[in-house]
Parts: sequence; structure tokens; C-alpha cells
Amino acid sequence: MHGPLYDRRVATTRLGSLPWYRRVPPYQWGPKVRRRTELGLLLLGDAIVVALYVLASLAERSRIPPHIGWFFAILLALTIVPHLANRWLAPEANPIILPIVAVLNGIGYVVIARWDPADAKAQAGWTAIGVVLYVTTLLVVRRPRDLDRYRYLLLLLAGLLILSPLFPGIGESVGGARLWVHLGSLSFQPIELAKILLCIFFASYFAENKELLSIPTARVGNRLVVDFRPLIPIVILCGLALGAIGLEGDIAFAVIIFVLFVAMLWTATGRLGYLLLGLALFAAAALLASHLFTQVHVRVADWLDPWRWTSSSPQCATPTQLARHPLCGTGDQLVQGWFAMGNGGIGGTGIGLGVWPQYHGIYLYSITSDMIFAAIGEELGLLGTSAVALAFLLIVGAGLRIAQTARSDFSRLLATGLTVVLGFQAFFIMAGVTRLLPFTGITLPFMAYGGSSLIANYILIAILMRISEEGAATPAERRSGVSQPGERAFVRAM
Amino acid sequence: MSRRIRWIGVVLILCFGLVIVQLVNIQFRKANALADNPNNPRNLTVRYDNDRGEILAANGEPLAISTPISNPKPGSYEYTRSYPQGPLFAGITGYASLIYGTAGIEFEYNNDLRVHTQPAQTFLQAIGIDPRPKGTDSVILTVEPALQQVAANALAGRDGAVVVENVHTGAILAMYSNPTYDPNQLASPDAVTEAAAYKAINTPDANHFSPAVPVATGEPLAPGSTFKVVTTAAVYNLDPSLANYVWPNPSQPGAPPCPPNATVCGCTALPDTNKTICNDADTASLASPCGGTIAEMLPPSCDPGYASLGLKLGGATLYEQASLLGYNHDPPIDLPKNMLNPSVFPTPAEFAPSGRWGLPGPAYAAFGQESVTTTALQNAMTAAAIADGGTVMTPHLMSEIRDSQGNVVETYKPTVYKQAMSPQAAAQIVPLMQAVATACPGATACGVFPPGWDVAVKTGTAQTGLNPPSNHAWMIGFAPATHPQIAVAVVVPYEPESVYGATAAGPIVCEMFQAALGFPGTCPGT
Repeated sequence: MHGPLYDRRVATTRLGSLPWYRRVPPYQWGPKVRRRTELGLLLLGDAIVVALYVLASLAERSRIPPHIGWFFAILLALTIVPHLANRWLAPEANPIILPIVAVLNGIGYVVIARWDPADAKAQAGWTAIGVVLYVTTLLVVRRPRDLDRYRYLLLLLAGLLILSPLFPGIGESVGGARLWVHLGSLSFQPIELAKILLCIFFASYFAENKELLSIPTARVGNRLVVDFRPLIPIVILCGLALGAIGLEGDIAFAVIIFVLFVAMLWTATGRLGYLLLGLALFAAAALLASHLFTQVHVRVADWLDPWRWTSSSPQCATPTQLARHPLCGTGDQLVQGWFAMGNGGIGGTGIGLGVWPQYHGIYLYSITSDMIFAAIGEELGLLGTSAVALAFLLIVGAGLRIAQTARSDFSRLLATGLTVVLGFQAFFIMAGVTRLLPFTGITLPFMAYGGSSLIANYILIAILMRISEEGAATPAERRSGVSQPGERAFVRAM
Repeated sequence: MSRRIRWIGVVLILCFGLVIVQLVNIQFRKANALADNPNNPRNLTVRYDNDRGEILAANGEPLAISTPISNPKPGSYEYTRSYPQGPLFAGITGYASLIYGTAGIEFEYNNDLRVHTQPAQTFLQAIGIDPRPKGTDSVILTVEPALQQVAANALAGRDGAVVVENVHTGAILAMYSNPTYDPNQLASPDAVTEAAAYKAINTPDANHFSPAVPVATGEPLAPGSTFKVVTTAAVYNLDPSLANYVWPNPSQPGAPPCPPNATVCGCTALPDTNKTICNDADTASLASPCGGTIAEMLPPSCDPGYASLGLKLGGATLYEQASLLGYNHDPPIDLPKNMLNPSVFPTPAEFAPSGRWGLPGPAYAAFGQESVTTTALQNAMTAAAIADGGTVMTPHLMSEIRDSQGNVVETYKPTVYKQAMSPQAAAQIVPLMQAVATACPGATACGVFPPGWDVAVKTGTAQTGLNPPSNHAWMIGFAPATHPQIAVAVVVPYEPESVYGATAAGPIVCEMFQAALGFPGTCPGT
């Protein structure tokens, strides 16, 4: 209807006035270079995952898995479906994010299946739901600014999600932290979804108020200073959110949300003062938390010297349980992780050949969730772990690149925020297992067992893909030879 | 905003870079240590494969071996540890118990003896692709079983210790202590035997010596007059102005007049108290008079003369010289800390008027009484230092470690522990110690050695101050005096009052010299 060259910007403006069920966009025929790259990478990733799956089975049971055909078919379906969705809904979006996510998810699945087949089955189901939600997100969020429009609604939803574990009846406490919500037989970690909603809200709020927050307008004496009044409501909100998350005992996510807040505030305003103030606040809060929460105290003690607090350390080897120091045994998990990684060495033992402590056939120390990075370290070695770290770095790079090419302040901030959340979540758990930072039981995105984390992160990358699609040069721009839109030229000059 | 987003990228790159650096640290640098850690559950299966390397004497005789058990039950140990020499080397090898862990050399070189990852043999092993081979190493010691046997026979069941050391290298040639124990019982597969043996080695005997702590390295005792060697060294090394010191001997014709501070001539009056120190007695009337120059005082072991010398030198100088020889530190030998105790010389503060020992302290300390304690190992190190031009070599037991293929993994290189005194000072002491054996009559070691032996020694008879009175009998020395090779220290503690260093420890030293150096003749008293 628009002639041979389809201008998406015109089309999407029109779509806004249609009822939602008629907004389904038409498929655009024609060569899609980025999607072709994506398909090639996806198939390569699938080959790696299938090879690992077969090797694991060969090592463990000396046979090719009998249902390898089904495995390959499902894997192919789970990777091709989002790829087709990209072809249809985001043809110009970044081509490397989805293949990296697919290969991380696949390796994670193989490692989980090694240790806990029941978890693996559930993880496969969650992956399917994640893929469906990925497509749904691309379909529903046709333009990033749709999210901008509903920011208070999304904030309300985030608040409810954050508070939901505290409600009696549906909240559940696991391992000293109240992070779970139970609805029937389904349990869910609502903060994983809330982190995305908070990202959207922060991006929206800071994009609107960035001038107010960065340009000195208030007069103190005869000096102009930054009017920090617009900051008050959002600081209170952020404080409440952190307080609630802290109350639930989820220290890791409290830190991530805080890092997100400070990083977005600084990105939006460029005032170094906010960064320093944030650091100071963080130090004070960390000090307070290590006194207030025994959980934090234990984590810090184990971070400083886990060997001291293993069950077999000299001071814990007392004849009676009563005489033991309360910290005894808390270092076991980290130390077991180190033993596994040390045993792996550079090349690893090979998938299927690792050893992990078990009790009556149940593998201990959360190997499929908290310690999955150590499990990878044993079987795939230093080469495997550093490849995983580099894969996350590639996603981070792609995410920040998307932020650089985004077409509005909101999109730019949102892409930055989502990347920061994903990147720091991966960093915190890797740093925890390797003892760079105190260990916190947070999931390694896309790899660790956990439905909430998996589907939330699939939604997260769907939004990133949407921003990437919008930021890509349109055919009209490409035709006119302007590779960088005017706004981006302006950004560069800044 | 663009620039700040880039900065966030830089921060995240740094974060992930740190993770990779730490991964290299864990999975490359520390990988072998983590994989071999005995608490690593991956080694639990290895733990039943309790093969251990051999401990061998200098001549290759096995001191500890592991023999495979035929048809071991699954989940039980596959090897038995045994000690063919029984109690003879217990104070050196220690034991490897399945319940109580390891002691002695078994502890000190546990990482070599137990099954562990061996160095890479192929390129693929070297770069970590192939697993490295596992195996045990053998530890070869410096001890000579023949000398050790002579020492055990000479002690004849009495509590005590004999240490023989190579003066140039610090290699321990023999080190035997009573009480001792049979390490075979501690390595017994029978838990009841093992528990009883463990209890026994930690039970003190009548002299408060436990077999688990060898007298030679772990029981510092008053050194008596053997400490006069250290006092003499302090004079020549640190305070040469006293080298020509003369303590008047009232019995000699034409003797110099008694010093004005002597309450009774021939005895030393002490500051801050009305006690006096006389030779071999509590009062001047019973004392055998002695004195003269230092060269005249050492052979007959003149207590009042050395007490007076100690007061002139002062506690600080004596402390410095003793510390230079290794006092107040755990001996640097390759044995675990729970078998070692430092020899102690009090700090100068303890000789202050209000200090623990007060002003008279240096007088007693100068001839090894009251405040000083010394292990046989320390006394051997002292004798070796004088023999080797003032150099204290680090005493050591390991001479070589070989892997299961017989390749040398590690060779001990002799190291200097301390330079305790100038070579000149050491050279001045040698003839004095020779005279202890030869300046007859009068010298304390007269008749201990067959005539014509080239030895340098010093006796010691330390009063324990217990009731009934008893003595620690000491002798230290080295031979040949002109070209020293070995140093010996012998202590036979808690002997009756009638027993002296020369009578109890002397014959043992004589036998050690003969066994080690092949001197002709028969030792008197055997």
C-alpha cells in the first residue's frame, strides 16, 4: 500500500490508531541480511549444543541418547521460532543476541540435564514459555515508546511484584530469603520481572527529567546549583523498593537495582556527584546490612575465608554438633565450587566426566542453579568458563551498541538499563563463585535452572531487540546515504 | 550520553576481565593444588589408595615402607605402612596413622610421600589437556642407621638424646631420643591398637618426657657448663676487652690478690643478694679452688670465674651471643613444629633488677644454670658452629626426594642459618675445648677418650634443683679437632647427684666419635 519501499515509521504511526487485534503487522518480503547472519549463528549454536548433549551421554552411559532425534527437533524449534519472529517483527534488529542467548541456554540445559534430569525437563518447559513470551513481547511492544506511555502502570505492577512475596498465603521463604510466590503448584520469583519494569520506569522518568537533574537551575545564595527536587520522589521510590527487597533477604537483587538506579541516573544526567553520592550510600548500606542481616554476615565471612568455615576445617572438627561455631559448614558450597573448578583445570574433565558431592543420588550445593558456573568450570575447564564470560560480554556489547543507536533518550536509557541489569546479574554470580565478591544466590542468566529468571530474561532481550530494530537505519535513510540519523550526529557532538 | 554509555561498557569489560583473571588463578595457577587437596571429594576414592613413598636412610636402608594388602575389601585401605627399624627412628620419621594423621618426616614431606600429581611427562600433560600421572615420591634422609644404632645402644634405655651432625653441611647423621615408641603400632590397621599407641606416645614418663616430643629436639634442659662455650664465644666475639680476663685462683702459688668484692676468696659474690657462687660447693670452705685466665678456667670448668665473667659481660651480651647461635627460635630443622621447642636464653629485660631473674641472673646463666635451657639439637649446633669457623649451618634431615621412576625431584642444598661469631673467635675457642679432654689432671673430660684422640669437647653437669638432687649430664664436642667433621651433643637428664657429664654423657660421645670417624682404641667406661 506504500509502494515498493515500505517506510516503517509511517506504518507504525498509522498502526497506533488501530484496535490491538488489527495491529498484527504484515510480513515484509525481501532479503534480510542480518537475519541470515542470525540463522547461520543459530544453527552453529545448535550444532554445539547437540554435540555437547551427545558427548555428555557418551561419557556418562557410553551410548548415544536414544531420543536424540527429538532433542534435535525441539532444539531446532526453540531456536527457529524466535528467529522467524525476528524476521517478521524485527527484521533489522541485532543479529548476534539471539544466537548467543540460544547457545548459553542450550549449554545450561545440557549441564542441568547432567545433574538433575527432573530440573532439565522443567527448564525445557520454561525455555518454551520464554520463547513464546519473547515473540509476544515483540508483537505487543511495537514501538519502545509504547512502554514510555504506561510508565506509572508498569511502576504499580513492579511494586506489586516486589511486595508479593511478603503477602501471607502466596509468599514462601526459601533458604532464609523470602523471594518466592506460590500460585497453585507454580512458584515464581517476581523480582526477576520487576527488574525489567523498574528499568522501564527509571528510563522514562530520567529521560523526562534529565535537563532538570543535570542543569543548575536552583539558586543557593548567589550560586546556581542543580535542583534535586525532581529526584525526591524517585529516590523515595527506589529506597522503598530496596527496603522491600532487603526485607525479603534478596541482597543480590537489591544491589543490582541500586546499581541500575545509579547507573541510569548518571547516564541521563552526567553529574559525577550522583555517582559519588551513590557509592557513599552503597558503602553505608553495605556496612549496615552486614550488621543487620545474619545472611550478609555469613556471606562476607565465607567470602573472606571459606576454607575456615568448611565442615572439615580443623576448628569445625569438634566431636559434638553443639560445640561447633555457627558458621561451620557455610563455606562448603564455595569450596566445593573451587575444588570442581580446580579439578577442571584448563581443558576441563570433559562434559559428563565431572564429580560432585551427592547424598543418596541428589547432588548437593545447588549445582544446577547457584553453582552452575562451577559445574561448567569442571567439565568444560577454563576454556569453557571464559567462553561463557566472553559470551555475556558480547551480549553487553551488543546491548550498549543498541543504546548508542537508539532514537530517543527513553530508548537509549532503557537499553542501557536492561544491559546493565543483565550484565551485572551475570557478573555478580560469576564473581560470587570465583570469590571476587561475596557469594549471592542469584541466577546466571539463561544458564542456571530457574523459570522466572529464564522467562524474564527472554522478555528483556525482546525489548532490546525492539529498540535495536527501531534504531536501525531505515531503507529511506540508507537510500539517501545518511547512514547516521541526525539525532545520532547530535549525540556524537555532545 | 553516548560517552557515558561507553564508560558503562568499559566498567563491564573490566568486571568480566576480572572474572577471567580470577578464573585463570583458580583453574590454572591453583588448579593442581585444588585438585590434590585431600578434602576434595574427588580424592576420596584416592584416599583408600593410601600408597605412600618410602623413607630411606642415607645408605638406602628403608625406614618406612608401604606394602599393598592382597585382595583389599572395597572401601578399605589398600596399603599398610610399616617401619622396619621399629622404635629406632621414631623421633625422626614420625608415623603415618590412618586416624591420627602424620608426624615427623611423614608430616613434613607429606605432599611428596602421598599419592599426588607428578610433573608432566608429555607435551599434552604440560599444557593441561591430558591428566598428569599420579604417584608417590621417596624421601632420602641424611641419617646413618649404624650411628643411630650405636646411639640407641649407648643410651641403654636411659632417657636422653644423642645428636650427631655434619659440621660443614648441617646434615643430621644420627638423632636418637629416649623415650621412643614403635611407629608400626600407630600405622596398625587395627584401630584399638592405634588408639592405645597414640595415647601411650602422648603420656609423659617419670621425667615428664612424652615419646611424641623427642628429647633431642623438643625438650630444652639446663645446659650446665656446656653453656660456658657460649659465654666464652661472647667474650671473644662480642667483648674482646675481656679476653685477657683473669679470675684469681687462691690455691696457686703467687696468686693475685682476691678481688675486693669477693666475700670469701675464690667465690663470686652476687649483686642484690648475699649468695655466693663457689666451685662445686655451696660454701668456700668446701669448694675446690679454681681460676686463672679463660684458657685456664674452661678445662676444669671454673664456676665462680665464669659467674664473674657473666656479670662483667652482662645479660644483654650473653643474650645476643645465644641468639646468634639459634637460641629463642624454633630450630630450623625440617621437622613439624609440634616436635620442636626453642632453646631459651632470657631477654635482657629479665635481668633487670625487677626482672624475673634479677641482677644475679647473668652470673648463673654464664655457666648454664637457673634461667637457660637448651635442647641437644641446639647444643650440637653450638659445637658445630665453633668447629665450622663460627657458621651455624641449618640442620636438616632430608637429603633428596625422588619420584616413583627414581628421578631426583629435589636435592637439599646446605644453607647457612646464622653467622654466630667471627672465625677468629671460633678458632680461639677450639684449643680451649681440646684442653678439656687433654689438660690432665684437672680438666673435666680427663680419661674420657683414649689417649691421642684429636677431639674438642665440653662437659656439663646441670643441677636440676629437684629433691632428691639430680643432674643433667651433658657433653658436646666435635672431632677431629684440627679438621672437624662431625659435632656431637649428648644429654642424659635426671641422673643421680653422683653422676657427672663426663661419667654419663662422656662415654656416649666417645662411642659416637669412634663409630663415625673410626678412631682407634676402646672407649674407657664401656
